[in-house]
Amino acid sequence: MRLRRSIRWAGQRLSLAGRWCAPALGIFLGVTNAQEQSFIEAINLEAHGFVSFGYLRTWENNVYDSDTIDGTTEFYEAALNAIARPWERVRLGAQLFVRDLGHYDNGRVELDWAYADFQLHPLFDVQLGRVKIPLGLYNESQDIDAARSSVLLAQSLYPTRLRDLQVAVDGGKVSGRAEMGDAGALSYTMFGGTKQFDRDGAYAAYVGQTSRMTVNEAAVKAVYGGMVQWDTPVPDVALRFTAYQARDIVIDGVSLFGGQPVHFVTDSRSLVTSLQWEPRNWTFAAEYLNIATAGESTAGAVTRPYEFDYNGGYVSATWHVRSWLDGYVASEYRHSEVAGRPTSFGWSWIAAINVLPLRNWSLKAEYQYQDNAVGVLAVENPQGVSQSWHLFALKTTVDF
Amino acid sequence: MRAAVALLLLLISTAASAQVAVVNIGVRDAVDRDHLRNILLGRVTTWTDGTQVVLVLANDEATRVAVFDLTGRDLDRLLRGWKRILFSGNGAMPLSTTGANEALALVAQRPGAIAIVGVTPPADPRIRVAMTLGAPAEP
Repeated sequence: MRLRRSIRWAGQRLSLAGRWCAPALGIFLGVTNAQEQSFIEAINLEAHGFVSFGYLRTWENNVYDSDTIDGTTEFYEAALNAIARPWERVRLGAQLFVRDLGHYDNGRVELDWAYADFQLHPLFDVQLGRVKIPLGLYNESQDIDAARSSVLLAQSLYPTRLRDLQVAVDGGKVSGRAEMGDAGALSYTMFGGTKQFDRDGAYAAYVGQTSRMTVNEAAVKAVYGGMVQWDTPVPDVALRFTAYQARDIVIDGVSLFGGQPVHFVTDSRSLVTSLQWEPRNWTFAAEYLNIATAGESTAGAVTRPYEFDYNGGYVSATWHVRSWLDGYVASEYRHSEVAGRPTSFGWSWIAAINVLPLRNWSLKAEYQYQDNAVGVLAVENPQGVSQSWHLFALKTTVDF
Repeated sequence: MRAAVALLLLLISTAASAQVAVVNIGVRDAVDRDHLRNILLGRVTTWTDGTQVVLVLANDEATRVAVFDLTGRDLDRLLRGWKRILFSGNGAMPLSTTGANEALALVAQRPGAIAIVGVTPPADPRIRVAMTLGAPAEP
């Protein structure tokens, strides 16, 4: 009885939070009292957000930090956004995002996306600003815990610690959808822009760890690509292809050994093929990613070329048992090569459960068995890296 | 006994009442089941003239039943899909109302708005019935 009252109380607080956030934003924007309500209504302002807290425990290897074998609660994320529809065909929005993932990000607040969207025609929607980009089925929704049943997305395609590598660009995208009658429908997105990485962000930290350097600056001069999705005539079956090209990923820093300057220039190309089938109470997904990376590293007066290739994929099934209960299983494969020689490969098996006591509140538990060491860093595992290891994660999220 | 009869009548009336999709009068598009399904799933976000689709979802039984019949998903799961669209910066959440009358009022006010209601809409020059769904099966 007490639990039920507590749940109801939490639901009421969430509802109130949503109701108060938009007026608070109106006040923040300089509008007061009597003007406030009419201003909010005039531009159709709304505000949403979420906050997640989690627990990670691993066996045999540490991941994301050097103490996950002991268990860590350094695993949270939160976002707050505001969206306005001031005119019929225009939508404006911005979202702040913060997270902590062990060694990475540590509560750093960032502008996740901020855009002006112009809906000119069903075939032609233009979005300018900092925009999220499609890469596979779930790149745009990587951070959105409420939108999936597992705690972690498939790491073979969406490595959690590298979210800022491909999640958004400063530039724009054009998208549209064409209905093709009995042949289904075709959707597309084309995107382009540049990207500056925060030196305190996860990508810079990861490069610093793996290359034993302090990163001073990291940026991509040009990012471009596109996505095509065919919603096939078979009900709820969609096929998606995505291509992503990053030109001149430039990283400058200082070596931790000797203090000499280090400079990387890299090109990277990613191709993703995705298949999704969503019959009534199920969601099945299968994706395959190929990355080809080549560049040059300069340390002091010595310049060396390097190549890195990666292939990864997964199949997953989600059973929507009840409106408040989902079950999830997946299997993944990962294979990486440096200069044509395999360096790491293997399988993973994942099972998760998602309980939703309220529409805006989820509780998840996940277990992973990993028979590969892709993404396991030697620097986080001074005791040595194990090929077989386990991960257990708990996470709770509320949104409004 | 009276209570049982009343409950039976209520169930019969709920199952037999036809839901209708109501749109703002500015919407010129024809709406069929596939179109409405794609709107509910967030796949279609604009009308053919470029106006944004503004989906209005009443938190009542008629909407729940219609959503399940059209999409095979309960309302909570449907809204989880919309959260993915919202938090990735690709759209805004459907407008939520407590009942059909509030939904109809929003459709009348908002250009591009569409709602599913289980009542006969009042005569209002600002709205029109775009399609009748019939009496879908219970989830």
